Amino acid sequence: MESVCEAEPVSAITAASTVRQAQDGSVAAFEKLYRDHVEHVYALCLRLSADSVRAEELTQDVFVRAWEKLGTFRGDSAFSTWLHRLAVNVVLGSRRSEGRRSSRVLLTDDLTVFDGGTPAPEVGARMDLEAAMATLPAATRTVFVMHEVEGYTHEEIARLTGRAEGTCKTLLHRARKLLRERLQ
Amino acid sequence: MRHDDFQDRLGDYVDGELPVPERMAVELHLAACAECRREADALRALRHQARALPRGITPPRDLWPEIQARLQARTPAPPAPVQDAGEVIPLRRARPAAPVWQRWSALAAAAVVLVVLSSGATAYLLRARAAAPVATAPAAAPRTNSALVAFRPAEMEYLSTVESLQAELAARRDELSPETVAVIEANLRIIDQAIAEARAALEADPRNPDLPLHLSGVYRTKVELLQSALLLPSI
Repeated sequence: MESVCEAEPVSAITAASTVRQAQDGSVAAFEKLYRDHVEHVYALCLRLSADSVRAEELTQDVFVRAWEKLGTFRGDSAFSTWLHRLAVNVVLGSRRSEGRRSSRVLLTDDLTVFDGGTPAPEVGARMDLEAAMATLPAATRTVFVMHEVEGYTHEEIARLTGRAEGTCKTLLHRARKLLRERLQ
Repeated sequence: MRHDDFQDRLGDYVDGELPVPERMAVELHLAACAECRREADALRALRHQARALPRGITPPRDLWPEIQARLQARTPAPPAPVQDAGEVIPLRRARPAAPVWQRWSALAAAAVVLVVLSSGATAYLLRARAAAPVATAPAAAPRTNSALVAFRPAEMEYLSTVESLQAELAARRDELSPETVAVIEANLRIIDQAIAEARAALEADPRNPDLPLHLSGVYRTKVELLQSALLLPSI
């Protein structure tokens, strides 16, 4: 998976060296990693949560968790890929916690439970794609963002969200339908 | 296949996920059906639009100072006495399987340890500062405590977070047993005492660079305690 920082002229050797320094406890090196990756992490948190304040909190949580788990990064994948997966786990994990907190855990693939989200805008009010995505129900939005924006496969999404692959596909189709209606 | 069946498969077709025979069937249908062609084009356009979104979005403010404060609260840093005294006891459990009473025993114990360590840490930081050699005589204490002023934005952030978490907890109060509520309140009192001590220390020694981080760590503990309390199941 690509990352924002990969578009920058930072060599892989330098990036690996920064990760190693951070793994050795250098907060300055970790700040460099934060600066390189924060925009992508924040974008992911914002699109998945559809809440700018929550996205800031989640972004902080992602980097704190990354610091705690840095020792488990072995370099098998790019650091950006590792961090991105961690970010997805943090966001989805927090949503599960919030679900538990409000006693509304959904242990079902019954898709009718995902109908909801923010009501569509009045007819005639044009929305851009970011705004339209934010109006989708959470589970539908998650699958759309992960598949269409971030490029995850249905298999990966199913594994990360704990849902059946078929359910993820159906949610994606539903997201596309709702978005087309809202963007028209 | 009927027209509706083809429409149902257009998403998979656009994603390239149909097996060859089905894909050919859809392509034959598309050649003859203008409505499905429009639908497929719209799906492609939406997909293109999504892929063209910027990969990154700049947060409205720099989040690093708060992240750094949280890292500091978790990172054991030399020298050893500061490390032992200043380390915040993690209140959020890594494994959520323990029964509620056990979690709360751990939380209560952690909070007691916290306040003991916090007092020790505050005293240590003040002593270490007093014993540190200085090149020049310290200037007279400023009228305005610059350290507290500098810490104010972070403190406001913590207070606002604490306020919203406490409001949430107050709304859930009836769902928790009286014993649980009593433990939460006892823990909060302990942490508030630690905050007051750390704040007083910062007021007394505004040039001590470790005290703002220590105060930040204690505030963070309060936030984590409230977050943990909100995750408790209803009775």
